[in-house]
Amino acid sequence: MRGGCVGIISEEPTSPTNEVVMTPHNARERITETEKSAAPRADDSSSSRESQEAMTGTTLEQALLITNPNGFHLRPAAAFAETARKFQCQVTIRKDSTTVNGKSPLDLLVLAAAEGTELILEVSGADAEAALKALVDLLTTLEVIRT
Amino acid sequence: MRMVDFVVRDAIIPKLTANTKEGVIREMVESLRHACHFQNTEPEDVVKAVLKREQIASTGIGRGVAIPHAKHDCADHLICTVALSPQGVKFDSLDGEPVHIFVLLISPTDKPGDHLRALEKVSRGLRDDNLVKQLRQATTSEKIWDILGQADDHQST
Repeated sequence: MRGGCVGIISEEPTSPTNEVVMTPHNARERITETEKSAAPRADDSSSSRESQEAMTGTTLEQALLITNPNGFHLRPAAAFAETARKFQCQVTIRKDSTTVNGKSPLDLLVLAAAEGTELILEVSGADAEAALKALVDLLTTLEVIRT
Repeated sequence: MRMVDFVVRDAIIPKLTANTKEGVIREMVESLRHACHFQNTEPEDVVKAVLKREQIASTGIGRGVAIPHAKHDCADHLICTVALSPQGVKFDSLDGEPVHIFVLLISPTDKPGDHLRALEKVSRGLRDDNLVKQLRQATTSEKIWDILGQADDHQST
C-alpha cells in the first residue's frame, strides 16, 4: 500500500467561471491507515485478492483546506458525490463535530465550507486508496483545494 | 439565516407550467422579477446567467431536487424562489430522475458567503424526506411558505 496518494494535476484548470486566488499551499496532509478487523461478507467463499482486501477494510484520512473563494459550492459538491458513488468504500467528510456522507450532494452542502475551512476526508473500505486519490484529484482540478 | 429570509414569498410557484429546463428557469426568473424588481437588468440576462451555469453541470442534484443559481448584480442581496412541478421535468440530474422541486438562487457577485449559507439552509431542509414529501404535496404558495417556515423553526431548535 502506498502512503501519500495525492495526485498532482499538471494541466491547466478548466473551470470557466471561478476566479481563484492562488494562496500558498498550507494544507496539512494527514494520512493514516488502520487495519480494521475483518468483517464477514457475503462473498467470503472467494479467495481472490479483491475479496481479501474487502475483508480488511482500509481507512484513509486526509485534511482538505478549502482555498476557493466560493468555498465548497454546489458544482464541486455534486461532482464529488458523483465520483464518490463510483467507489464501494464509505466516504465521509468531517467539519468540526459534523460528519456527512460524501456520496450525498445535499449532505456536502450542509457543511457550507467557505474559503479557509479545513475538512477531514475519510474513506473506508476495499477501494479506499483509489477513492481518496480520485476525490483529491477532482477537488484539485475544480480548484476547491490546492495540493 | 433562515429560508424565509431570502425566499421571495410572492415569487413562489406552486405549479409550474413549463416542462423543459430552460422553460422552468425562465418562468422562475420572471416570477422573481415580478415580485422584486431587478436592478437595471433585463430578466433575459439573468436567464442566460443561470443557463450558462447549467451548461457547466446540471444543478439537478438528485432526489427530485434542483438548485439552479447564478451570481448576478440584478440583486443587491440574495434572492430566491421555490417552484414545484407535479409532473416532473427532465433536468439532467445526477440520478437521472425528473425534478419536482426547484430552488432558484440569485446572489450578488460579491457575497459568496451568503450563497454558501443559503445552499446550506436549503440542503438541510431538503435532506428531510418528510419535508420533501410535504412540499411535493403542496398546491398553494401559502402552504409552501408555511412548510419553509416550519423547516426553519425545526432547524433552529
